[in-house]
Amino acid sequence: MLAKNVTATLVIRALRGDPDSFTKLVQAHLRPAYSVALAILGRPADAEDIAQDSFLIAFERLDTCREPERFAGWLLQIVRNQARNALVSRRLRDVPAQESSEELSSTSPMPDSSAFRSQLLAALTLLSPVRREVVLLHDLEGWTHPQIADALELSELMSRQHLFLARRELRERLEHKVSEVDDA
Amino acid sequence: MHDSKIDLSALDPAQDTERWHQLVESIAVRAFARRKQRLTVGYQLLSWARPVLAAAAALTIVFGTKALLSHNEPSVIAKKRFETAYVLAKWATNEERPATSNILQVLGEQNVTK
Repeated sequence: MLAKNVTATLVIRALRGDPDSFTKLVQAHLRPAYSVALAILGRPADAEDIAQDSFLIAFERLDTCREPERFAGWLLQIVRNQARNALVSRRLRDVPAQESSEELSSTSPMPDSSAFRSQLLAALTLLSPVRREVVLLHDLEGWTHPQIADALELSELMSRQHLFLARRELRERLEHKVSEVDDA
Repeated sequence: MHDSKIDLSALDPAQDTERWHQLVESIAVRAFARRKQRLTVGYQLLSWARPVLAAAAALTIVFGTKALLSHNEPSVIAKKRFETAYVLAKWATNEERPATSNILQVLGEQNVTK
């Protein structure tokens, strides 16, 4: 994650029409945008689409970003809104996520990467949305608690608590899955 | 109870680094193009077209009604004003972007009739 003053400078330059600043802002924020979308939607392909759309919307409305140093939080709110809208549309027309309902192959005691990915996605669906966001931003994106707290408008203490509980729930779920496979 | 980091690398969207790099570039290029387009004079004018047309339609209806009620204007002129208002309102509600010549024609017809 970029320092706040660097982010602010990039936003101001982007507002002036500097193309390099657009690229640097996307480079720095696409992964967290994807993580937040994944936390809400649970499907990697959908999360990628929403992350892309959110950037296009964000840059169109860049003038409305009142605190350029808090661009990350502002962008993630757009991602959250877009993802929730997409989730509502999907629920109206669709069935539950296939990827999240995939089960481990009973013939492989050690999960391969694809099955493990499905297992992780399924385990994540059991967490509350905010815990999913916190654990993905911390353990996948490497954000610190102060950064998460700032972007998600939580206290650092709450961020730590969400992470602790998210990890515990994920471990329980993943260990339960492995023991199911061992028993089979 | 241990609280170490969970390995979520299986969910890493940038595992295919080449593809991820292309995605970043593609988003940046599209976002820049859209923002640039938004800043052009033409786009700004078009974005103003709808509210301006709606306001023009509303004003024409108000003045047309006033004219009808006051009986000071011949009914042909009042009728023409309503027709103008109808066309403007239709453009506004359908988010149409009529050519300048069409707008001038509609507004001009009203003045010619006058």
